[in-house]
Amino acid sequence: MNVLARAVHGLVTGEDMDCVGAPSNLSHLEQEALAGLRFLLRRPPRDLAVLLAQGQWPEPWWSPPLSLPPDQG
Amino acid sequence: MESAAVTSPRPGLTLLHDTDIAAGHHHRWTDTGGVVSLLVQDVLGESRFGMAYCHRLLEVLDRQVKPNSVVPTVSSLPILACEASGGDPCRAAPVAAAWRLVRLAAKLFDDVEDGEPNGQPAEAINLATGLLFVARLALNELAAREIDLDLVRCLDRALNRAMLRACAGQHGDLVASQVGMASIDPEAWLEIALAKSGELLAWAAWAGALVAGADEHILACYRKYGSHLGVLLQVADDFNGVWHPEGTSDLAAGRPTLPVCYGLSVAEARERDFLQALLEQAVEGDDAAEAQARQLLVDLGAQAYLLVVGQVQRRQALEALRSAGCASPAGQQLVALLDRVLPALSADGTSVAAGPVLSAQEVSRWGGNSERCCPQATGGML
Repeated sequence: MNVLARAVHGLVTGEDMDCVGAPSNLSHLEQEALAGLRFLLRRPPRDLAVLLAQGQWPEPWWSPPLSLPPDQG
Repeated sequence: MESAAVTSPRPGLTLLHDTDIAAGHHHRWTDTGGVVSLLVQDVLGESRFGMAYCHRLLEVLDRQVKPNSVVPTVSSLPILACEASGGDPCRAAPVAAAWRLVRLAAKLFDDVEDGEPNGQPAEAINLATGLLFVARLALNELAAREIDLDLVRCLDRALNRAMLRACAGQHGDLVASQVGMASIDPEAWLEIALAKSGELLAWAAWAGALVAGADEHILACYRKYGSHLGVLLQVADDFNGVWHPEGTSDLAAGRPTLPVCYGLSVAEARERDFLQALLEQAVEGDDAAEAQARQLLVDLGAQAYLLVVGQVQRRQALEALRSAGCASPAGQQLVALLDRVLPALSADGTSVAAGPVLSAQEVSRWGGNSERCCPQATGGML
């Protein structure tokens, strides 16, 4: 299993909430991101959708939206 | 010199003769729409069928909503990378034109593959194919007038390679949809995302820096920036597709998104079978099963995983920019572009040296202490 996925799963399900360190085979950036997540999960509410949904990317990245043609507008 | 403007095949579009370009009106090259219109009409304008196809291509192009010039968007990636590398942004206009065409073609193809074509699928495929050829024309015929030929060949070759890799990534995505999402784990998802969007955005950023005359190290930095930006966009896209869909959700469509790949990879056997069953029911139109699957993914930590993966991608992109040493306003725009994807990842909308998962604002809202959350967030990055 993906080590990062396993670490996140452990944090979210509470199996690893007391674990101070992150798996050593994670990169420095991954460990820092996990540390941020650990902090976040200690504070209710735990529905991250509230956080993630803020100021979402306003358009499909691959192309600006197409406006409707005149006969459909 | 007499006016070189010619009548557009449609009202509202002013096309330019080559004499305009020869006369040194280089500022016009920043008008990529005009440049593309000129190219298309030049090739197709002499036959009846050609004109009809020309009209459709220009219509599709014209229907693209023009980006707000104040806010950095993916559209401006080559221009920003060029300017941030110390180049004249006008030199990147042909690259920007090709980039716009490639992205529009990708959207048309994607809509067909997702079963959501805006019009007839066959026509959409033919239009998208045409747009890809116009993109190559934009590079080969337009860039050749501004940039030396070796550089143009280099740009064209790299674009072809990026597009081929993007097609391979899309193939991986399509195959995963057909054979079942359990076939791809989060690592495989990342490989696919890197191929299908990372490669193209890497090209766009790299190409902008190349026409600016950047050295190998800087070019590698911009390639890396674009690549991580592309994966981050896919992370955001998958979040929206599962939790904030417009129309059919990715769960109902059976798309192999990162939340699902993650959920299936971390769940215990019984829970995985249950999730798999819910996902199958969701594809068959069972709304209750879809809602249950969505909640199960939350419980398994899929949102948290997206947050962590997104943060890692954002930080890698920021490090690439820092390594490129771009301190210009255009460099700041590239940071802003990154932070627009998932604003929750950035520190209250500003760039930081080592971005926290939470901004100070967020920490405050969640009742925390920003110093504890993000000890590395010490100020502006660039």
